[in-house]
Amino acid sequence: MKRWLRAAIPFAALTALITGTLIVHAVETPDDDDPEYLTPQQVQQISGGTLAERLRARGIAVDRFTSTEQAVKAANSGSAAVTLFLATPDLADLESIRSLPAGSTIVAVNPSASALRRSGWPATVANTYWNTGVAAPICGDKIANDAGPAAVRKTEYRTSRGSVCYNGAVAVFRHSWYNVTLVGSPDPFRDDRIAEHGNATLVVGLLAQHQRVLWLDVHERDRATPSPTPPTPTRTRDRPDPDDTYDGPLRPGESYADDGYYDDEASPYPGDGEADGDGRAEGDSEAGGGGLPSDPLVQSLPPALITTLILLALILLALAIAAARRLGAPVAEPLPSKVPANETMLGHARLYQRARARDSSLDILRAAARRKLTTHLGLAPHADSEQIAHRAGLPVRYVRDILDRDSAGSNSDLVEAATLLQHLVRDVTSTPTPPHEGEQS
Amino acid sequence: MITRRFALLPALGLPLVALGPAPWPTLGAVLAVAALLAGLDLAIAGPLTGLRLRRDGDRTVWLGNTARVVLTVANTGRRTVRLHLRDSWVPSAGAGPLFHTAVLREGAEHAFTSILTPTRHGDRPAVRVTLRSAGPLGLAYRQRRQTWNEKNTPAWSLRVLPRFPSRRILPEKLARLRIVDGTVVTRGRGQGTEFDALREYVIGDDVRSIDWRASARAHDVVVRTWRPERDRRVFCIVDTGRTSAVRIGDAPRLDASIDAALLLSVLATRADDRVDLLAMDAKVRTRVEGGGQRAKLGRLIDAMASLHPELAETDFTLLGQEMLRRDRKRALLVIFTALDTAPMIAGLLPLLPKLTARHKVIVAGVRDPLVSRLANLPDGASAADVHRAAAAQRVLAERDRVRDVLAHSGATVVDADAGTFAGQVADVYLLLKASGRL
Repeated sequence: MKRWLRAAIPFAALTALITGTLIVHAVETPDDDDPEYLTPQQVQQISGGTLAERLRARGIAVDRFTSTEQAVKAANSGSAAVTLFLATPDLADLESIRSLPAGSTIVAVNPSASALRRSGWPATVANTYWNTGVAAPICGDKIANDAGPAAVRKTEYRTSRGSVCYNGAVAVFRHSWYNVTLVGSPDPFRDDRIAEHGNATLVVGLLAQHQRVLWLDVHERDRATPSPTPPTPTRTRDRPDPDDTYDGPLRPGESYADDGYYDDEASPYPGDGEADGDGRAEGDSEAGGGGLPSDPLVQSLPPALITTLILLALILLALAIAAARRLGAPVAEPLPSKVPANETMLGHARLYQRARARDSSLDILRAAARRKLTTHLGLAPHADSEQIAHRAGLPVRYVRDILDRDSAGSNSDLVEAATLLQHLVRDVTSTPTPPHEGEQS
Repeated sequence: MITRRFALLPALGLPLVALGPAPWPTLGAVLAVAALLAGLDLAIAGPLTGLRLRRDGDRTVWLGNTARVVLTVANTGRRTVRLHLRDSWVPSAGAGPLFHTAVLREGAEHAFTSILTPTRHGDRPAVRVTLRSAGPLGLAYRQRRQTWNEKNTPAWSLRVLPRFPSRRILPEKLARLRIVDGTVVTRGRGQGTEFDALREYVIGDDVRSIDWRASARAHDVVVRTWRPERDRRVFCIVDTGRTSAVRIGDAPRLDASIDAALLLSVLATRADDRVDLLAMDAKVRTRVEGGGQRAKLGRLIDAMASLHPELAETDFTLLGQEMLRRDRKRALLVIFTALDTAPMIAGLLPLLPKLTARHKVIVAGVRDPLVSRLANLPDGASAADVHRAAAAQRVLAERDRVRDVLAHSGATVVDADAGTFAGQVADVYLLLKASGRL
């Protein structure tokens, strides 16, 4: 085995193993845009039908909405506080949930860092795990302590204004006039895992804080229609601000790409930063510093796709650079002439043919034949057909027919005349020269 | 500079970037690792400045044969050089293999052999040796500019001697020369015009050969014997103008002229005649005159090897200036050219009477065999064949006219197909030699 092969095989095996693991993990992880993902309508592996049934069994009304706007409108139709369950907070329109009734509770399942930034909640992602793990509550929250250990630890959050349980996998804090609960993993809500550990007690307890649950079941991007004018900051709403802690969608100095992630939901409007006036623009420029243009089309792409495309482009660039430098340039030298000596002759022949110059061709052939015959027979160059016939011992009419015949009217006549000429010359020149007059025989 | 293998590094990191939790930092890390490894590899690669090159091997080869040239590379540096090398020759040198690879440790040297099978005669130079020192990982390499490589390339040129197909008929021509010369006794002493020796008369001798004065002194009948002339001058004049560039069969017309000139030179040298060479078109390209007769043949072959057709009209006045000089002795001028109408009528013909007045002139032109073949109709001929035959007959008629005009001016004309051309020129020379008309 070649030396380089011995070194390459372990690396190749390791690469294949890592790649395979990543692919399997990506396949097994449920996607937000899967219609079955945490939907209350079905009881399946990744759905949330079991949770909805348990809530209804406890007398809680569960209303399913497929757009954030509808859910908020339904919440505002009554004055009672409600529980808004964000099964897919990354897809929800977090801008519009700020008009919830006071005292309402929002339960968000595994929001990403970008979703947190977009919502303006005082929480950040502290840690992310490869898979969901079981953790103990370790906090004073009654619901968590009633539930005990639960499989919630996939994303850990840090908040400056509330409390955290399960080592940060569940974060509870108050924001504006509503309460927010972040749960670090979707597993406790799923039908296939709700029965494990204290999952059911925990999630039912979190969602049963009010008599009505608005289940936001969105599986595609839920955004308000962009308007040419930037939205008015929510600070100007008529709602009271009980703790006066709300400071807009982003605090000054916050960035949409603080941790280097591409914030694909950061700004649907090109002019967002200017409208905010106190930090949004800075955040945009920092996002640009992370290598992202402000093109909405580009921003709509997942960061992994963009980085993969960039890396592929760099790989192709590297290949092009490697191929561009040759090991020595080719050497040139003048080529010899390729013109055949008979080119002019063949050109003449083609011209005769194209012009149907049968008479010219036949005249040339007859002149050549006459020259050969007179030379062979020892006659003067201008000897006529009769003299040639006499000297060759051939009938005069026969020789005259061949040498002095009328012009060829067609190609077949031309071929016939030329063939006869050739035969005549061949017949005469193949015989010995006859004795001249006066010569001794 | 990076290699293709470098692209493998980011390719290995592609799954990490595509499927990992943090694409941007992973992308940065992958690129940083790749760049670091490539930089490290480049730093470790051995320097090219410590390499010394030299060549050895064949200097001349006959066209159609194979030559070997060895390029030796010595590493005088302190570090190991993983060498990739391209030994570039002109394409017509037929050099191979072009690429070589070797690992040269400190003080080591390696010989790379190039096998050359040239496709054209003349000087085939080695143009450039390009050196590349790769790193141990094969991710990056050092390679300097083309001018640096050319500067460090050892000069070498392979002289490719022209093809000499008429070599096969040389023994037959030499045998005929020996007969003429009298060294092979078939008819006694050779016939000629130059006095050789006196001997006693024997019955059958030509009475016109009796030397009466010598007979009186010797008190016996003594006859003179004759031998062909020796030490005559033969001037091969090779036309390298545009008409020599056209191809007859697979080779330029010039190749046929060189072949015939070579055969004539060998014969004339063996016959103790002085052979000189003048190659010209719009100007004189090569001139071989004087010098020792023994080394002359080598010089002639060497000079003919460097001839190649020029796309210029031949200026025959140069020939007049050379051959009509006052100090020029009578010689046999063999002009290898093309019997095309225009160049002959406008160029050579006005000069020919003066040349023939002082020299014996042979005008030799090689003919395309295809013309003679197409002049005859094939079986089942078509109208196109007839037109081709007419065009061929027209060409032959024009050549006949040129030949007649040249012969009328006193020149002997050799107009033959490529296969028999050299032999016919040699035959004319032998005929002139035998008849003492040189």
